[in-house]
Amino acid sequence: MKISFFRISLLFSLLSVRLLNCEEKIISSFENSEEWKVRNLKGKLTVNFSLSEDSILDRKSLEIVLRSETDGINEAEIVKEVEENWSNFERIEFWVKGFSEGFKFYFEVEDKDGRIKEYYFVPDFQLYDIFTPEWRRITVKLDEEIINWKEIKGISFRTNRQGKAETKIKIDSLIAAKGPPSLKINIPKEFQRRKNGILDLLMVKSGILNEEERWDLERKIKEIYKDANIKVVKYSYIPWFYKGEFSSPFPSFHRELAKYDMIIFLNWDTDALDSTYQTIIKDYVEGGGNLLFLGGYYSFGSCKLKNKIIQDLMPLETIDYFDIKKRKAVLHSEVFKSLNGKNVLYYHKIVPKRETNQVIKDEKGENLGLYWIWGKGKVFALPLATFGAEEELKDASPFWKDESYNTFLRELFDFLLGGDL
Amino acid sequence: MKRDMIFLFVFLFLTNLPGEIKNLIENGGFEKYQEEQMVPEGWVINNGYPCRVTVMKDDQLACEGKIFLRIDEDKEKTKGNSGAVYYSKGLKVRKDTEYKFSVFARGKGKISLFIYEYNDGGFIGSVSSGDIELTPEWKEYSLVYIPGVTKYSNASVIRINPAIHIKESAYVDNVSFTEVKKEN
Repeated sequence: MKISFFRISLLFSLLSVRLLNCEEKIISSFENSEEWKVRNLKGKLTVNFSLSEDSILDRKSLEIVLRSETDGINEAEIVKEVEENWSNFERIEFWVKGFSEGFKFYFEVEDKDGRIKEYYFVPDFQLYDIFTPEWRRITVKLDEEIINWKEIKGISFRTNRQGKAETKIKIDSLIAAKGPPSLKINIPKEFQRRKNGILDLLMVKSGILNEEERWDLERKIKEIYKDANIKVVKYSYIPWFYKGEFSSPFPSFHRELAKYDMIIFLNWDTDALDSTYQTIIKDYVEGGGNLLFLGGYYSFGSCKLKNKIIQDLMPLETIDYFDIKKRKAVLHSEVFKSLNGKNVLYYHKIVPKRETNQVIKDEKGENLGLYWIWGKGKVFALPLATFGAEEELKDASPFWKDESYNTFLRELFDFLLGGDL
Repeated sequence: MKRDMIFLFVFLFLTNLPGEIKNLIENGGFEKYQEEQMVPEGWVINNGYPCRVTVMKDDQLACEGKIFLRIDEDKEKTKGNSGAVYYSKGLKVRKDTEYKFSVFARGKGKISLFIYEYNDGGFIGSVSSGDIELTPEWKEYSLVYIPGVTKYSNASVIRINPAIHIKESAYVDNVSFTEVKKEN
């Protein structure tokens, strides 16, 4: 009886968090092709609309047939007039599918004074000229004060192509949103996390700092879960020279990510994640996947989360560059008992988002571990660094140094997965 | 007499009709595919050239039919070589006969078509088209192949496996291996 009451309370509190945080508005579900008009034709571009049964939401999508017929520039805008106030939203989302055949696509927003904000979108950064044969969500961040977000009067999809070509592109479900999704718009079933009874993990790391060696995650997880499958994707990255590459292809499609129970970002530089992947990761969590974001300079300290799509997903905001704090903090947690009394010598100062759940604190009440629910999944952030010179560690009891670390990892995985593989 | 002439005319007409060019690869369009399979029937990933294969289904976006493949090179394992899939059923070939191996592809990076060659003793060598730059549009890539004596092992080729090697990422469809009929 106590357990049921606890579960009901937990459900109610999670529901409250969701209701408080999420704001969502459908701008167009593309069920009526007549609300879209063509304007500003340049060159010779034929644009035809029709409704397609092939929809991400099992309803209908808008199919746009484009035919450019001159060797020069062919351009058109596909426009919808609106009266919108988007000042409370942080992002616009829509789904696309098709091959581009050389057409370029832009999403544009126009305010009542005629100011236009343009977003170029590429649904697949690995094959950016080609577009995608599977539905992909495009996320547009509304964080720049260039136009008057309170009085939006038009939205458009602009396309151009130099030379003769023909293609069909489908667009579906355009929404404005803030905070975790309401689940009114479900991620398709085939994109949702598939459970197979074995712990399947995708670990993403930069692979250049000894901080990762101190976390020693692969080995520790294997000690706890002998059958665990751990796929590691490293990003070779040279600081200050933005050039690097994935050691193996990062999953490009939702259904490839769906097999993982959790994605662990270990000291990860979000510059390496193009918006395609950040959006797929967001969709993965919305569909029941779990995300564990572990600390370190690259994850939190260099402040690279700011203005990224993945920032929407995080239960916290970073403050500034080099915000790492050096102080022997004593950890305290009601949830992760193994951490109580252990030390961390360096941690990142962060600001929790409204209504996140703070589950690890220090003796002064600073937040050192927090999570929230995003769709059907959980996102857990641990902005702790496993730094510390040998002499600093001597008089301390760092959480990663003794046998209780295994217990903590087990507690953390149990908490995130709830025994639900 | 007249009836014999008509019969002879019909016979000559029928025997001189150009024969259909037979694709020696079964399931070259990847249409035979069941959900639980990693790759469509008859095709396998070459473990020596690891890659990730994603099966795509869309009759409007496929080059032909409904199913096509996306191949992504696994760079950590390939060390910059390439990722490859090959047709697993060995094809018997005749010496000094001309064959055409053809693949439709679109993508980023490079494609090379390979013929893995075997005799009774096993693998004896391979023939390749060399790396060809991929384009964003569907395009046919082909290799003309004449089995003979391999330069490395001095052995006659009896059987081959056609293979597709990709550097970076590509969609592929409509694979064929046909005998080139010479005009008399």
